[in-house]
Amino acid sequence: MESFGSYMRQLRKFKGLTLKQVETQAKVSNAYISQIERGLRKPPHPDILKRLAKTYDVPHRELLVVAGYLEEDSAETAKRREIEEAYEHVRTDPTFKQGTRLKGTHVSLEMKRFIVEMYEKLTQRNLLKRA
Amino acid sequence: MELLTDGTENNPLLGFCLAVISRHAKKWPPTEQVLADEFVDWFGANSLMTPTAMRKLCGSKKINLSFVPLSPELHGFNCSFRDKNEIVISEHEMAPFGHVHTLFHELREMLERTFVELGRGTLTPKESLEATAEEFAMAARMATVTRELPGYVEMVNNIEKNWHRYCGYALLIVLVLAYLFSCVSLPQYEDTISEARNQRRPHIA
Repeated sequence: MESFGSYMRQLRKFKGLTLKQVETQAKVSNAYISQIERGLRKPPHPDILKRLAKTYDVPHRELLVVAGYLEEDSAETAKRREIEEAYEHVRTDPTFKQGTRLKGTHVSLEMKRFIVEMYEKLTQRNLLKRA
Repeated sequence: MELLTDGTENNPLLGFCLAVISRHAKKWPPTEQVLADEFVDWFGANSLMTPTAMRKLCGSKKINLSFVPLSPELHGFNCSFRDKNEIVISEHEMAPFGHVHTLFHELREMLERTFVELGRGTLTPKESLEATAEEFAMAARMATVTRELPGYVEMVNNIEKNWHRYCGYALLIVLVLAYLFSCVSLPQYEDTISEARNQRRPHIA
């Protein structure tokens, strides 16, 4: 459960919250959250995940998928993988230089798709399949 | 007959960077304030630019600028490929003059890439480009108003009635101070807005 824990820690850090603040907002004990983040506890009950999702401002479904309660839709998974791979290509292409003005450090899937689309526009190469 | 060129006619950013390097070679790197002053003179930016004016200025430097809806965390994006330069700014900038700040930020990142390509990077490994570009954007906005100030003072000087002129001076001081304050407080203001927006946004499970 270490990957779920590190994912939860990343979410909290991204929001800039302390364990105490999460406890106050989500009504979940800070000791319990700390144990989850360190991989010492299994993912919490979906009801608790719902409260944490609200605190971290992510969709409840996303937490349920990462916690293993729900299977990620296969088409969704394929699309996500395609964007991730295309983004990796863009990031490592030495001929394409890019920068952002971004609040925080988390590059969401939506942003990655946008960056890939900009790459496609400038380089006239197609990385993403069009519907 | 083949004309020999230095390649800067198709890449004005490169021309600017070469000029800055030649002027400041002895004391490299220049401070962000110095770089911002040089940049504002070269770019021809002013303090109250509309999106159309920004697009036109960028176009004159062979940079394509567009305003599109971006995700809330992303204020702007810049990229270069061969001789193509592109900047995208979020349509939803909430802070006053946020577009101008983001434009300067993106341009600073592009300048740094060019300096690095020329072997004259301005940052130490410990310095972050993101933070430096923010500092540059603030300094550049301040430089625009500093450049325009003599013109405004001249305008107020030409007011004939004494008390109208005094009011003009007072108004000018207030506006300039408010603008300078907006230059330094913009990032914090954006943080406050985005926090408030996150709290208001309904949660969809």
